[in-house]
This record gives sequence, C-alpha cells and structure tokens, in this order.
Amino acid sequence: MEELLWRRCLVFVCVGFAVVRLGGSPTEVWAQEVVSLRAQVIYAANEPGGVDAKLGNLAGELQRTFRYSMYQLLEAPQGSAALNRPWRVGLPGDRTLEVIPTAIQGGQYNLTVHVLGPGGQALVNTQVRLRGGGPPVIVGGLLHQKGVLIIAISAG
Amino acid sequence: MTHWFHKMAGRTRRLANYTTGEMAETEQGRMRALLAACPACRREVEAYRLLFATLQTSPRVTLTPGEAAAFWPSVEGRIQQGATPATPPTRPSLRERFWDHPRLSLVSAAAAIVLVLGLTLGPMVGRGPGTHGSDGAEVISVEAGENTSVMLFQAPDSSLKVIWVFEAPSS
Repeated sequence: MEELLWRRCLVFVCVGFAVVRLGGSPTEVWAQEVVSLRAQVIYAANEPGGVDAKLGNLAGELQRTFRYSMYQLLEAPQGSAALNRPWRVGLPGDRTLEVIPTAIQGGQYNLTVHVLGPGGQALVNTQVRLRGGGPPVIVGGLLHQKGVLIIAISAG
Repeated sequence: MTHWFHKMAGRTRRLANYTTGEMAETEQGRMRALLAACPACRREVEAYRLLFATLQTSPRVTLTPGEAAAFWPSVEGRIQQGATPATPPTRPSLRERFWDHPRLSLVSAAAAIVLVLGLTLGPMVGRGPGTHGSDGAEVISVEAGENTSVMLFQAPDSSLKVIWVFEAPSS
C-alpha cells in the first residue's frame, strides 16, 4: 500500500512538472538556454611576425586557407548569451561583432552574426550553424592596418 | 434417432418412472414395447437402475456425539470468517479498477516519466528550424552590407568555412 502511495506521488510530481513545462511557451523555454560563445580576433597580414602560438590548432587551418605570412591573435573574448539575445564584442576600427543564438539543435547552435561598421551600418549579416566544440566559422576581410581582420566564431 | 425423438417427446421422465416402478401397469406395457424397439432407451433405463441402486445402497451418514456437538459451531465459525458487509456488492469504480490497481499505477507512473523526458529532451534534439546535421560549420545565409560585398568559400584541405567581406576602403 505504501508503494502504491509512492507511485501516486511520482505520478503527481511528473504530471505537475509536465504541466509546468507545457505551460510555458516554447520561446520562454528556449530563452532559458544559454549558449557559450567565443570570438578570436586575428590580425593577418603579409609582414614579419609569423604565426601566433596562442592560435593553437586554428593556426594550421588558417595557413591552409589563406596565404598571409603573419597571424596575430589580437583578442579572444568569450561570453554567453541566451537564445535570441545578442552578444556584442567590440572590434578594432570601431566595428562591432554581434552574435545572436537563435536555436539549439542536437548539439548544434544556430547563430545570427552581424558585423557592424563604425556608424552601426551592417557590413555583413549571416546565419550559421555551428557544432558545439567544432570548427569555427570565419568572418574575414575587414581592413585593418596593413592587413585584414579574421574573426573565428565558435559556440558551445 | 428414435431415442432422440423419444427424448424430445418427454419420454425420458417416463423412462425414469418406469425404472422406479412409478407407473401404471398398462403404461409399463407400452414402455416395454418401446424399449424393445429402442436400444438407446434400454441403455438409459439401465443407467437409471444403476443410479437408483447406488443411491439405495449408499451408507447413511452418521455423526458421533462429539462431531455433532462441534458441527454447528464449526459452521458458524466459517460463516463468521466469510462474513461480508451488509451492503450489497457493487461494481468497482473506475478509480478502484485503474487508479488503485498496482500494475496500472506503475504503468501510469512510467508513462508520466516518458512524457516528462520527452518534453525535456525533445526540444534538445529537435529544436529550431531544420534538422540537417553537420560535423563542421554550416553557413545558412549570407547578406552583404550596403557598401560591402561578400564571398563564401572553403579551402580544399581545410575545415574552415570563410565569409570574406570586401570592404570599401573609405568605410
């Protein structure tokens, strides 16, 4: 009989939890999810300096992709953002990187990425899907000093 | 066939009466003629005779004084043990049949757990638009700004997806 009471309690708890989960809208539930984000801001140019050791495995990928002689990690800000909430990072040249997680799907993160110019105008808008802990997506080509900025954006 | 016709005609009872002798002499004569023509009826009469003989030869059941003295108290005790409430038996309610049933209660608890897990884990495996899986980065869409143009590419031996922005020098 006591076992029956425990089972009843279990049913009540589970059903109550299910009702709470169903009661909130999907947006409210998603809004509670927080996505870890990271941006590696790299200065690449054809000038002396070599490859910054702090780039780690990314250095090899960059060298296979581009033909610059120098890759220097300027900054590597990390943060987190709830779904549909922006994460903003200042970039050299008064530019702004804005990343908005829009969905989480099976260990993958859908991100909306904006790179804004000094006046707030959009330089590029893109939607990407990244695997948590997987390779980053690269947004590059922003002019900086004698070279360009390369931004590696990763999530999870 | 004749026997079944006799049974349907109600002669079984008369066969029994014939066996026990509870029949008029004229009637017994007709029954004898009938039995001569109906082997199954004869077998039935024999069965009746055997039954009645058994009943008549069964020993009388007798009780010793001690058994007789203990008989009724024993019966009353059993009646008390099997006593049921005075209220007439009613059909079990739905609650008693389903909610109080241990096995069904366990099933409902398991179903509730599955429901909760489905609601909790479901969004994690099927959330957001699209379900295309990818080991690397996937660029869904790219839109250049007003004074820029963009190019999407990936080097053959690299896993990096690159969105290259061609920025006007003045911007």
